[in-house]
Amino acid sequence: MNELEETLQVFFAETEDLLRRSEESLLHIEAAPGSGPDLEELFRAIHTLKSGSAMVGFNTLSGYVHLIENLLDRIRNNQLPVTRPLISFLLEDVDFIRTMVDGCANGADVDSDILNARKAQLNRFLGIKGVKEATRESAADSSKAKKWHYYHINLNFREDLFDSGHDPLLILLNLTEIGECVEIAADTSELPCYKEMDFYKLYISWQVILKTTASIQEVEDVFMFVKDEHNIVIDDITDRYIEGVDLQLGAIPLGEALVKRGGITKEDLKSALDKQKKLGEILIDEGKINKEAVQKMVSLQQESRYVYRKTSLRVDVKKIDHLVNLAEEIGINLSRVQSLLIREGDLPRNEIEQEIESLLKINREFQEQVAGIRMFSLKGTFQRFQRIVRDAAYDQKKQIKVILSGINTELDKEVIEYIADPLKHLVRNCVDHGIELPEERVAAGKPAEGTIEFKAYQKGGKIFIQICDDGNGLDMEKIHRRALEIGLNTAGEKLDNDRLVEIICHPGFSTASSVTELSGRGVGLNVVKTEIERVGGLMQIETKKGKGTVFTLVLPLTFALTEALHVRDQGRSYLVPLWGIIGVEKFKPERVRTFGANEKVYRFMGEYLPLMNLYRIYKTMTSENDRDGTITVFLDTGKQRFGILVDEALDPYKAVIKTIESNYQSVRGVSGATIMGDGSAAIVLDLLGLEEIFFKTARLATN
Amino acid sequence: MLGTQYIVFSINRQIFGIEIFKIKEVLSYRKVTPLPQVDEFVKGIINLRGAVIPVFDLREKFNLPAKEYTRFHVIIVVEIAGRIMGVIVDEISDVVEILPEEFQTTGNLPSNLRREYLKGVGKKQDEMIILLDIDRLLSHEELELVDAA
Repeated sequence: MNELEETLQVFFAETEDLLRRSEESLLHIEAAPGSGPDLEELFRAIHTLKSGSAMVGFNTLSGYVHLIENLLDRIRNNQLPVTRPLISFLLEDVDFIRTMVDGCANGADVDSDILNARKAQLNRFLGIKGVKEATRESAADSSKAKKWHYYHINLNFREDLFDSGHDPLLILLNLTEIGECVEIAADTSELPCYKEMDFYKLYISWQVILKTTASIQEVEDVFMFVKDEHNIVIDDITDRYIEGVDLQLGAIPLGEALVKRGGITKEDLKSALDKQKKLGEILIDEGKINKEAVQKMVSLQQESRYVYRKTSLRVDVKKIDHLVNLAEEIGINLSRVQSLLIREGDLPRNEIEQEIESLLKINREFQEQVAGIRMFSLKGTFQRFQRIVRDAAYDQKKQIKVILSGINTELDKEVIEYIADPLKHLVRNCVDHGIELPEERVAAGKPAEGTIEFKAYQKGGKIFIQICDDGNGLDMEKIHRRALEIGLNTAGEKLDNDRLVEIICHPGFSTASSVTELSGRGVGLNVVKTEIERVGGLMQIETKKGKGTVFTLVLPLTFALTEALHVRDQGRSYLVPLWGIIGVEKFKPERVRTFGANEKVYRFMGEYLPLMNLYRIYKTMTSENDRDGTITVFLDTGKQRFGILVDEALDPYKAVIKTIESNYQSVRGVSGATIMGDGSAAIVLDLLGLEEIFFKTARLATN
Repeated sequence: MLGTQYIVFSINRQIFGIEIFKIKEVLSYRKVTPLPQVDEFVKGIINLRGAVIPVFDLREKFNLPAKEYTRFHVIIVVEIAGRIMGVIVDEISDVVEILPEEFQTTGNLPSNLRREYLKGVGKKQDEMIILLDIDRLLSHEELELVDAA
């Protein structure tokens, strides 16, 4: 890695941290406006971000962040009141910066239209006078009876402006003397590349909106010396332009603002928005590039972003120091063993054994510590959920308080990444369908403000994550009715919490139209369940009508360690992930039934399931020894149930899965390999892939 | 004029060479764990100090008869485009320097060894060394081709 890349890595890691901190501070400020320390924290974060991005040369980014800093400065000096729309705007800004940073990471420029629109909004906020100031000023205004004018000025100078001794900067500065430039947009599209640039020519044009009390004549006077030779258009747009900007207009997109002001209709806006296209689409339309090339680039960009996210990790220095110490210890111990071995005379067995004993101990600690590097607290994830709840509640006019507990619970970074989306889905569900509107809550005798609690704790080697809401709870009657309809339940059967998960996570349950009646809670829950189970976790739901619902996820501490059953077949070891195993038993020939021409089924727990030798599925037979295995392992992938036949089933095993892709490529039916105690590599089965091969092989055998 | 150094090894008594700077290390043969449903050319995976690497046998590529492995076989570990891979050979004999005047391009050679896998041949005293284009042999595209077969 060269120096620049290293600097960039540090910058990206730091930025993510700063943005998260900004988000956190903003949420605090919203909860308790005027809290000085949080504002300071936010200001510091944004300031650091500004200088950081300038240092690595992301000038667009630093320029934008600079504007935000200005805005925050005004808040800090009590020149701007903290309002919800303002916080919303700043939170959006955090997201926007994140997109910009991502863009920088994979070399894509931010869409300049979007950037300009956001800048314009920022400037409107910056243009707002403080509340007190404004009232005073408006009083003064009325006495002087001065009227604000808005001028749209199009500055399109000729290339040779400099030759006549003029400087656009000075002209723009002159403008600010007679009024305030509310919006400035520079058009740099004519700017040639650096090598072809003639430094004596001007390539940039400007569009300015000037707010002033001066007359159009006075404004024209500013351009007195250049007006005749250059293309300068001044329009009085006072009537069209939004007068006396108000807070709310600043917080909504430009298009909507225009609709609000009656400048355009909703339909106009929609048709205009429809005309907006992505850069790729425009290029395709113009025949500059074909569709495949664009798509390939887009996927490459996504991939690179993913890789960058995946490959960098911020680690506490203390953890590293500890590792360095342990590594040193191992070195010292090893050299002691070596010196004992080369000592003259008989081998000092006892001493060597002692040294090796201590080596093993240090090594164990070393391994634990290394594994610990991957562990991260759930703090960031939970805070993101807090943000999601806040935004969703704001949209739906619900009042929701968020309580976080156990945010320092640590989990493998990969597990966190894996479960973030399923969890987000549950959180959205809670807000959308769990918590009722304030008036409904009051009518039901509950406080108007609903509560969602995120809880995390560790118990017995597992991590528990709970999302509890005090909303309406699931409608058991409707669920029961629906379960009867799709034949998941029988009429007499009682519907308890255990069956509930099975029913509402059933894929058939959510595809039906009646889902909406069931407050939509079935939508995508099967996906959530599958994702959670994939990392070796499970989901539980508890619900009480009118009291609320609790979703509990039980997760393994780390993803890298997969619990698997060690089986042997044809003299080779394989690991079967435990999550898919529904039963292991001795092969009993009397349970086999022939099914069709060639296929065999096996009676397992009252059900006939297809069964096949593992080596047949994998085609890894080494000898001619074509005999049946002695142990059956039955699997349930969530889609199909089937059995594999192996020679031997040994103990469950905690496997560290290593990917094969890193040095080769993915192989169907293999999720990776693990190193066994004897140093050999054993295959860890990918059950979904195995299932695919299984049924394909079975079909081939039958045909 | 400077020559290029090659590591020289044999497969079924034929002498092959790979540029030495492609080679990371040489291992004695160890048990290879086969992968399911892959081409014969892909022998499987091994553990290389905690990393899992694929192992190939070039015999398949060159239509040479397969052979039972013994502990005298050798695995040459190469790094190509950031990926670490192993190649099983019968034995490693030497490191030689092939000077430009000892190099012959593939132009006049018979085509039963696919030419795109070869750089050329080296002429060293009486010996002919088949110089492999290992990058090409174990390139991503080539491996994917195997997978599709």
